[in-house]
Amino acid sequence: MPIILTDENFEKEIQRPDKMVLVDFYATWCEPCSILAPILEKLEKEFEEKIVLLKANVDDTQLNAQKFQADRIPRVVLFKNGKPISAFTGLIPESAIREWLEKMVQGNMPS
Amino acid sequence: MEEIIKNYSEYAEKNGFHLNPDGKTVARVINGLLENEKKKGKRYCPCRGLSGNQEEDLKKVCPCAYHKEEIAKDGRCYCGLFTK
Repeated sequence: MPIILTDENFEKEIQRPDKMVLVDFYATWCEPCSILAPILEKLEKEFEEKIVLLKANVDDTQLNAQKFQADRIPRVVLFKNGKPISAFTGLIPESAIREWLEKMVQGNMPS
Repeated sequence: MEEIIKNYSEYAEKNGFHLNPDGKTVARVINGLLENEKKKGKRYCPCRGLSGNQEEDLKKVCPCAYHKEEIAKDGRCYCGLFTK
């Protein structure tokens, strides 16, 4: 069963000792979010040994959405050991996200 | 829904741009606006998170404070309701 992020469990869930955590801040009716979602799911499979994808509906994570500048969504934040290390906003091409993830996982794996 | 689409379409034409010709995108955005109106009291853009700061959040009520600049720069507003 997929983890549903809320402001209550957010801090706990982004702490993964073995993988980096990719958080997708989204809203149900957001068109660019719905286009980005399957791209992120596909990339999670490609990077499954290094990354886990968690979904954060901004209605359930308002405090963290604000904390991580999700005033425009989709906003995607990559966490390592619970700390944000990089992010992007909006719908960007799959190839650009893949390149970004490759760069991020190289030399950034949790120790 | 039809009345809202008509109103946004008229607003767009008056301001020199258009409602997105993609009806599916328009329907999705409008459903989001109506859902936000029902849950949060105003037609907040479904592609923006709310801060809890009333003054800031009012800028996100559709048509938002940013749409004209976005249409001029990107050819469409961020959520895709309006196009150039």
